[in-house]
Amino acid sequence: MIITAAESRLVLGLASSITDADRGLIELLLPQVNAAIRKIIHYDPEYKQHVEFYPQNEGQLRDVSGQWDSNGTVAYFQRNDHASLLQLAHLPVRSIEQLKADYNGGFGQKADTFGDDTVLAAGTDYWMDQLQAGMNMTGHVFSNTAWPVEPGTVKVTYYAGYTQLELAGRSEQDETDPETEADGTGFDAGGIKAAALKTMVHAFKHFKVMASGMNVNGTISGVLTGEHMGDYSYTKDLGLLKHGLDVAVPPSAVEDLEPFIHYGVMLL
Amino acid sequence: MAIHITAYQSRDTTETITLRNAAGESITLAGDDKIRIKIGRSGKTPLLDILGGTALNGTTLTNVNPATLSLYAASLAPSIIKPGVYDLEALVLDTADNNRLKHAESGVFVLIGTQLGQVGAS
Repeated sequence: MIITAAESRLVLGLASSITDADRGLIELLLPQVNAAIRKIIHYDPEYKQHVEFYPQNEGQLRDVSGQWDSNGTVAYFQRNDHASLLQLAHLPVRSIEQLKADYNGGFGQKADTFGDDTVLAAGTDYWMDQLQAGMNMTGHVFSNTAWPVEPGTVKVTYYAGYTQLELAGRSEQDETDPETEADGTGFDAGGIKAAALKTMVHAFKHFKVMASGMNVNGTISGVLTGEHMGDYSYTKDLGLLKHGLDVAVPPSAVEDLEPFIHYGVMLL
Repeated sequence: MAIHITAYQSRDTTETITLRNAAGESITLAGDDKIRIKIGRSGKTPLLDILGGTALNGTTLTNVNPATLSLYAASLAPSIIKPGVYDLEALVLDTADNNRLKHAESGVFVLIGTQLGQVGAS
């Protein structure tokens, strides 16, 4: 998770005292806040390993220029469009553990594919964009020749995302992260955590307001079901209002996320 | 009530922790029961996992309720845990019930950054 239950409790003023209902609500909201943030930036920002197959689809077939390549027994036609650039799904790419290219790949489901003889050599067969060591902000991986264009023919095992220290804006370049043992970068991804905390507060308070049946003006919403003139009182049916759950990312949080949006997803 | 501990990087801290049941009453521990405290993030290996009666880098936890948690500076070194806000879980190892690990309380652990220099060191 981008944020923890403890961080949520702290910003909600519930660190020292909390009801079981509020614990449950926070637990319910944590993955939804995570999903709301991911939906905007288009990737999972947490540091972790991914194993993925590329290209993910047929791509655009309008450009038919290219050249022929061979695996020794079969010739394959390599189109020129984006052929030397492989776009990975998650950012920032920290390291590529292994990269394989198999023209018969079939997303790893065909027999005898992605064997040891399909491993490509880093620095020789491919290399990746780097802002600094271990920080590929674009997710671009370049081939020395051309990537296969048939879907599911490239298998990449890589680490991507920000460490908890980077998400907290506390990463130092000379300090290893105790949790992930990733090298420190000094990179500040605090905007993502800030956005997640704002979203948590917004969603939590929205739910509490809805559950109380009170609208933003402080009056009780719902269908009027009874009214008494003497010692005036009224009753309302809150009905479905009690179940409103809206995990929307507030505008200021969207601004926090702007520098982290993965625009390269258009190439996937 | 909930457990809320504030500690300081590389500094000794002593806290009294009262474990309560759902009704808010203090839990009574049986003779061999042990208290265990985990500090870290949900779904990850705890950064600090302290078992009552067993020292961890000099940190100790008593097996009585209220318990005394004596966090020793070495347990709060930057190589182990960095400043930040962490999930805290207090558990009871119930020896009379096949050593089952039972949740007692969740809480918030805040580690505040300090200037360089560990207690008793340079």
